[in-house]
Amino acid sequence: MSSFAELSDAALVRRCQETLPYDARPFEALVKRYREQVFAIAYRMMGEAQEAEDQTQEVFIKVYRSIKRFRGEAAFSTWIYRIAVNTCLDALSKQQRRPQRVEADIAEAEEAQYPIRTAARAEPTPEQAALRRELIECIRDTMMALRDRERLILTLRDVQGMEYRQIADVLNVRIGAVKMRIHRARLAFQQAFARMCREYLPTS
Amino acid sequence: MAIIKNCKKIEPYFAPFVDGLLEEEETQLVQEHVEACPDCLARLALSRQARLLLLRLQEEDIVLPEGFQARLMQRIMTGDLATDVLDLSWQGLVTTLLQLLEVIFGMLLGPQPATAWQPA
Ligand SMILES: [Zn+2]
Repeated sequence: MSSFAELSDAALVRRCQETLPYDARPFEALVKRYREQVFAIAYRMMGEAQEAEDQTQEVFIKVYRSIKRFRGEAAFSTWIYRIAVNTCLDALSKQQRRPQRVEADIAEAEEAQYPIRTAARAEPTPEQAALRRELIECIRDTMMALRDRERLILTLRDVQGMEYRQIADVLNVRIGAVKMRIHRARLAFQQAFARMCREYLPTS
Repeated sequence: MAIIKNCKKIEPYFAPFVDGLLEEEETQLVQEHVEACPDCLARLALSRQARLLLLRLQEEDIVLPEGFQARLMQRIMTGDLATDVLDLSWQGLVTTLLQLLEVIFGMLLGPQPATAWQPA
């Protein structure tokens, strides 16, 4: 039914509460509305597509299980992003495959010339496009080298473009704390970037 | 407004400063502080560079893997998830039964036509 697309989040949630598990169409409409956003957050947090899909599926399964108990104290969007954030952080802490950022890791990455890919110049694509891709790849690698919570707040603010107020609601912290965390995470990012992607630093 | 000398007190303004979200008066506070504080000026510059770099990630198109929703719904419908959402208390069962009837009747009656059928 195409009319689901026109309903507000709150109305769709109400429909889900009334009709699940017999009629999954309102739930499917909610999935359709949020799947890209949730996947984007998961992708930035997990660093690769398969993991991101797994966690995105987890998020919607949790939503499915608990939507009947959702009372609307927060906006549905805030609620689902909160589930997404917690699901990814949980998965990352369970993985423990990636060490947390410490000086030694950075030095090691540097030694291994981790993000530097000069070979890409051999590609037949225009050099500028290749450089741009390399830069973006280096930015992505730098993100993955950060602490999970640093990467999280930068993902929400600078990559997803979320407003401070919503970030505060999603993370359940004061807005002042959000501003501080963003600033500090940006500093951490820039420090890591300077070490990992030195060749892209402005020469000044 | 007096100049804020304490670096800790000015720090919460840095993120919104970089994001261009401060009022004129607050912007002035930041400018006055960093003019007198090279450490904060350096940090502010780093913060701005980080923001500019991170914005580039927005250029990337993140595409949801094909068939995502079908896989999700398959998991939900074939697992025991569907029964998870059932409320198995006595009141819950009555409500559920009523909802079920509503859905069935809804399906039987079908969507109501907007206008009655008219002979040509
Ligand atoms: Zn200062």
